Order: sequence, then C-alpha cells, then structure tokens
Amino acid sequence: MALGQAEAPDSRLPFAVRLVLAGLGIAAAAWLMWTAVGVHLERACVLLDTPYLPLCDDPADARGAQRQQQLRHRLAVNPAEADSWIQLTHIETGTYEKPLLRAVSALAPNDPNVLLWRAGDLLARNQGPQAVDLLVQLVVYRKRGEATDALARILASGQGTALLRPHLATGDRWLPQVLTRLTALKLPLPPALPLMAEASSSGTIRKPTIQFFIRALRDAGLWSDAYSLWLAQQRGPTPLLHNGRFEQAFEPDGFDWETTPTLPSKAGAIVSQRTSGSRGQVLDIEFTGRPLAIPVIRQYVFAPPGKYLLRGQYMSSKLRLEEGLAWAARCTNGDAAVPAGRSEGLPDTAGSWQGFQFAISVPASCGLVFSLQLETSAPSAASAGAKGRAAFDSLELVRQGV
Amino acid sequence: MSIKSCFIIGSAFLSSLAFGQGAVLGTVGNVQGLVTDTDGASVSSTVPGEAIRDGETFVTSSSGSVTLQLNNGCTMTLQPNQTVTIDSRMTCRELTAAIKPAGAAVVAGGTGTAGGGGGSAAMGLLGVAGLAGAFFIVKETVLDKNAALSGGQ
Repeated sequence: MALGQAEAPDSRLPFAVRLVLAGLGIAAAAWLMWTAVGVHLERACVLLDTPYLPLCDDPADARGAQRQQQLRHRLAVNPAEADSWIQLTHIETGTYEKPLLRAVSALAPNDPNVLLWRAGDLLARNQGPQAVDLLVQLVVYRKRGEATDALARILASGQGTALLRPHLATGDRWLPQVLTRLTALKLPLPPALPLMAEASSSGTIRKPTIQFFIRALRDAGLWSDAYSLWLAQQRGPTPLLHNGRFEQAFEPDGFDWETTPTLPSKAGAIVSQRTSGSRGQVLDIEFTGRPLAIPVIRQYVFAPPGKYLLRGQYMSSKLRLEEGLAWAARCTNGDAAVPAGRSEGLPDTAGSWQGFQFAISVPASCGLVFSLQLETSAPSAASAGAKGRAAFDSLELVRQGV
Repeated sequence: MSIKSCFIIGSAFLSSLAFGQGAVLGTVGNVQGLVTDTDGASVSSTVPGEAIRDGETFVTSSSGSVTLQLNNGCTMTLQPNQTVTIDSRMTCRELTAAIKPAGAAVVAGGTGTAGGGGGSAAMGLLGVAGLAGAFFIVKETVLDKNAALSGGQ
C-alpha cells in the first residue's frame, strides 16, 4: 500500500445485524407464502377458480353421504358453482336425480358430463336420433371415449345406419374413431356395412377410413362384405384378377397385390414395379439370398367355385433357386395346404420373356375368395433363399366353367 | 400407344365378346345394399335394371339382397349372404334350389371364425342389446365420479 493513501471506512454492517435482517426477510417471505397458499387453495378448491391444479384434496376419496356433504358445503359458499351441481347430480340416485338433472342442464347445458347424461337419458327413453346427435357432438367436439363406445354399440346394433345417416356429412370427424372402437370392442362388423357403403358412395369419408374397415372385415373372415365394399369403390367392373398387368401402384388393405411384411434388412425378396420398355410396368422381384417369406406376393381373388385358367408372362435372369418359383391358388376357407391350382416350377429364362399358365379348380368348400400367391416350387427352398431376379407381367384369370 | 396398352384394350374387348355374348336371360330387379356379380371375366357391383346373362354368378353381402327376374317368368330373391349362378338349362325350381349360403366367415389362415350373416331375428335381438349396451355405457360413465371430475370443465 502506498504511503499517503487513506484507508476507506468499513461500510459493512456488523455480522449480527446482517443475520437479524436476513432472518426477518425469511420470516416475511414465509408469512407471505403461507398467506398466498391459503388464498390460492381457497380459490382453487372452494371457489374452483382453477380446479385443474392438483392442489385440492382428492374429492374421489370422499364417498356417499360424506361427498354429498362436501359438495353441499361448497355450494353454500358458491351457489353458482356449476361443477359441484354436476357432481351432486351424478352421485344423486334418489328422488332428486331428475330435478337435479333439469337444473344442471339449465345451469351448464354444454358440460360434457351433462351432455353424456342427457344422451343416456334419451337412449333410455328410446329417443335414438336425439341421443345420437348428442353423442356425435361429444365425439367431434369433446373427444369423449364413452360417447365413441356408445356410438360403436349403436352402429353394431343394426339400427345405426338410420340413426347415423344424418351425420354422415361430418363422418370424417367421428366415424374413424367409432370404427376403431367397433373393432377394439370386437363388436359385429356387418351391421356397419350399409353405412360404410353409403359413406363410400357419397365420398363423405376419406379412403383410409374405408380401407381400415375393409381390412377389419378381411381380418374377421367376412370376405364377401370386404370385397363388395372394395368393389363399390372401384366405380365400375374390374377383372377377376385386379391389376394383373401391374400398371397401377399397389393399394393396401383391399384386393390388390400385397407382399409379406419383412424388415428391409432381412428381406429375402425385394418386390417393386418397374418400367420395362414397351411392356410398361412389370412386377420386379430381386432375390437377396436371405430366407424368403412366403408368399413373396399375393392377391386375394374373389372367384366363386368353378374352373379357372391363370395365364401370364415371366422372365428371370441369374435365378438361383431350387426348382424355381411357382404360382399357387390356395383357399381361404378349408384346407389351404392343398392348393386349388399350382403352376409348374418356373426356372431361369436367361432374361427372355416366356408365357405360362395353369388350371385352377375352386371347390365349393373353398369359399368365395382364394389367395393367388407366388411361392418357391420346392417348399424347403424358401428357407435357403434365392439369388437373381424375376419379373412377371400380363397375369390374367379367366373362368373356364362352373 | 404402347404395345401393352394395345394388348390391354384388345384383351378387354375380346373378353367382353367372350363373356358378354351369354344370352340375356332376364333383368335385375330391386337391389338392397351391396350385391356383387361376376360373368367369369370381370366383377361388378349389381345395379337395378342390369341384364342377367347365362353363367353369371350373384353374391349378396351380409346386408344385401337382390331380386332376379328371368324372362321365363321365374323370379327369385337372394337374401343376405347368398349366392346363385344362373344356368339357362335349369328350371325355376332348380335355380331356386341352387341358391346357396355365400360361405361362412373364416379368418385368413384358416383359424377361428367370426360372426356374420345372422338372421333377422338374431339381428333384432342384437339391435336391442346394442342400444341397451350403449345406454349402459353412458349411464355408468355418468355415474362414475372420477369421470365426472376429470371432464367437468
């Protein structure tokens, strides 16, 4: 320190004073917080300003008379508190149930629980259209699962078409959820078919919704319903074998070509459509050497019992597969192990296109739909995998006789 | 126009000649719901007024029905989930007897069955049960305190 410089006076308060001041500050903060918490709890739990905050005692803990007492106390403090009236209505099952419902309907007409109660009341009084109107609103605007389940049951009841038809214009906003619940609850699907057919023909619901329902029908084995709905979407006649020339992109969940789902990294066959000169699009299959998931590709074909001929063209190059590939027609009903028809093994053609054909005899026991599928000619060859490439084009199925 | 396009058009034309030349045996009358018909080459949704040809097969869906009016005076009605193949060599009685169920509901892969095609009486009971089920869902939900509390605002 240089000589002549004066030392600055120590402006700090003594330690003891600072300690006392800090203590007073903490005490003031604690008092403020205690007061604020009390006020907030009063607002949140008694006046229900912010009932969504998890601050209050769980009212569900209180039961029966205790709960009624609690609600009455709350209403005495705040007579216009609609939520307490609603809850009181819900637990009241005696003489006051109906008057309370009327009162609460006037007090909170758009409360989802009140709407749900009113829908239940209308259903009990057999006023289906009005009940369905409320339930649809609850699904569309309130996303209420109970309303969705109720609509699913109404749809499965067989009376759903008439009740739900007036709401088809907004079908895209509630029908997908209802169909999802219909399948999840394992309710009967056929009663929903007429409504879906109307929705499909009027174009009021999107394609994925119809595809979802077709897939559900297929999964339930309701082939005739699934096919008739799919066909109604085609807007005109379609060949027995759909997209046999592979010109259109494959559409899932219908009656188009479909592959067995496998991870790309484990796929034994990579199926695609590619352009092949003047042929246009063809079915292209690249074999990777990994085990093959069978069928490589399939189409469920709607064909009543009878005799058919499948013909088409194929080409393969550097195909290394024991006994080659084979097309087979297998019943969806009865014994699928015995094919209704099967081609000879299709060996390597060294890059040239060749024709092939085979007869299919669909027995009455087969049902209305069979699976036309590409397999390995030798069943054991699938696990060994294949190498090379194959392509197919111009597949056609024609009936030969009954 | 590619060779393939020409082939497609030509094939469709030949198919229509091959399968469309079946003699017209009558007319489709009333159609309810979804009904499908196939002439052996193509499949289409059945519509009223459509010609009925020899060898044609009609299949009704679980909610479909169709009345077939043949020129020989024979009229037959397919109820839901039924099928018939029209054969000009058959008498009206034989054709009516040839109406068969359109196959049981069997899940792909041959395992399990699913309900479908129940009679109208069963469907009626199901309807009552369904509406009652919907009512009880709503009623029970409304009486559930927790549900009331969770969605009260």
